[in-house]
Amino acid sequence: MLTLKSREFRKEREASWRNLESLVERAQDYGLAAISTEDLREFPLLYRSALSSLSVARAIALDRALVDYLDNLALRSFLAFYSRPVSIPARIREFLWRDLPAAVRSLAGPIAVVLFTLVLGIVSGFLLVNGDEGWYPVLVSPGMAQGRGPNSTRDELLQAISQKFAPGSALVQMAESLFSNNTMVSLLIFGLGAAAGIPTLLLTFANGLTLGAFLALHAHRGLLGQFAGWVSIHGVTELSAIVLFGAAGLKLGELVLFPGRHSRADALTLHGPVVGTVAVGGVLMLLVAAVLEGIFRQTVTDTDSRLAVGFLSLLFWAAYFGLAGRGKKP
Amino acid sequence: MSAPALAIARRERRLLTPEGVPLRIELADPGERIAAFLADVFFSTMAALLAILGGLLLGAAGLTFTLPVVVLLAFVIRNGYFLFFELRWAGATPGKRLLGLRVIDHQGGPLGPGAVVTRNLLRQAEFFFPLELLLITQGWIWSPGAVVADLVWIGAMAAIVLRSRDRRRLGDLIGGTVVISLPKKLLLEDLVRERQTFEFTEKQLQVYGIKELQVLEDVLRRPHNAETARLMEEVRDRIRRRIGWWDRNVTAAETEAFLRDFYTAQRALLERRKNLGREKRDKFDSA
Repeated sequence: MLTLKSREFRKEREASWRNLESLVERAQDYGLAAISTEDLREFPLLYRSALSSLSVARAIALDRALVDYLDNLALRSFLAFYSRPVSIPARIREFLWRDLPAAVRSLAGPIAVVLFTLVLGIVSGFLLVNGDEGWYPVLVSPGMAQGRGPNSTRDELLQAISQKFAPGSALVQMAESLFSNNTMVSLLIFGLGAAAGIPTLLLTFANGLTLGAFLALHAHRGLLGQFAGWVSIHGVTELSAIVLFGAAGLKLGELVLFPGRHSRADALTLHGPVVGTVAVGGVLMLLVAAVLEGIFRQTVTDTDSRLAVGFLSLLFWAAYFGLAGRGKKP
Repeated sequence: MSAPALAIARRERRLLTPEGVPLRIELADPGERIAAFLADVFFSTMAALLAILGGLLLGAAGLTFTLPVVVLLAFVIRNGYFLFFELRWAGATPGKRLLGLRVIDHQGGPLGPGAVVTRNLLRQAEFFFPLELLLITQGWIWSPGAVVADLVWIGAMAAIVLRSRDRRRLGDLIGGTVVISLPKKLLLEDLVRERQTFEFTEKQLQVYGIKELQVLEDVLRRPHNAETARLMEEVRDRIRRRIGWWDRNVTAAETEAFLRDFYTAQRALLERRKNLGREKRDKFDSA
């Protein structure tokens, strides 16, 4: 008759491991909230005892199945133990009310740079085309222009602005606007930020040039107000989204260029959540812009109301990103 | 600790719990991740198809399923699917569950909603948007240049995964997450026999070390079949020759009992030695 310490040890503790195992499984499937108070009170004790079992097993046992099992159980309980209670609405609320505005505020510097670049682009585009409409085809790609150009008459431009769509096609409109130019530009502005941020600034500037060119084209034909209304109803949101993507892209470029005392991957991990959160915010804003473009632009046709919606959306975003969730601890 | 002889060789990392116990984590293999991803794409596509079918049956007023609309619906349903499950099941989707994978926080902290949302939306940018933009024929997007650009983009994203130390894709890097392999392990029965029939002398147990003990453990845990039986007889004869055990003949029916008794005696001795700080790693270790 041989007595093995590892065997005695296992016999003594096995029941508590089994308890912990079933508890962890329930926590994984239904969340900590679904566990009874009694079991919940047991959880820390069982978890800590499993950790100590693992340490003991590593020290005394040569039964590999046992050590592997405890390794696995300890890791799974660790993840369940330190997880946060799963409540998807609460997490969404937390994201919208705390994480997103805070992340945007923390990128105030890059946002200012991108905004400046965009405004610079708009002003340059406007001044260039205002002076000579020959610049227009240089600044605006045929896909974007959709036939609008120096040869267009006032009526043609006006028609493009006040065009109406059949009712019921709102979703189609929305989808098409989402997958049009701006989504692509936004993704490029963000993704290419990894290349030292230079493509981000160039693309932002180019985007501004295009808008400036359009503005000048319409201003020449006395349509500045109408065009501004037509564009601002969703454009304010869309351009703000582009600015957010640009700021996230710049931050990405900064992390790649100047990772500080960390490796690049570690720097990304450290500051990545902020960048990612801002990009997610950009995606949400693009969705809002698509709704505005698909539904509101079709129903709100009068220029003053359009301008009002554009202005209100600007106020809304500024207030939201500037004020929401201030003073809340992460 | 030696690596299991029969398992896939995985990259391992250590994670220190706040209690100060180092835990071993195994990174997911890229192949497993692709398989899990394909399974998830299959499930979510099925869900999207059902939704579209439902929409058609209900005859949504004037709704036409143009390509952009389908892409938008696919976007919403696919991301809803990934987000729902990764939040609800603590970092596992049905596909990941099938393959025993989990998403965890890279630093070992709790997996936050921001991280999950980020890694999933970046999957869009990494993989789906380039693909979908190719599908939508709008002006300049459908051109050979765009195809090449797309392929370069997807290739670059794949390169990030292969180049990064912990096999993380861009979404993992920015979201601060890592995908690990964590299939549920069962507690297998202890191979020690309560009452032994065969006896071994101290000298006979001096031959082998921990490594050989664990190879024997693997043999004893094999599924019972004719091949295993043959293997066991071979192992029995080899052990008998090596340690010079000639007490009596061991029949085929007794082989497993013999091996388990030897395992028991050998483990008892090696564990005792380990406790005394004289661990014998393998048969070449003279400690």
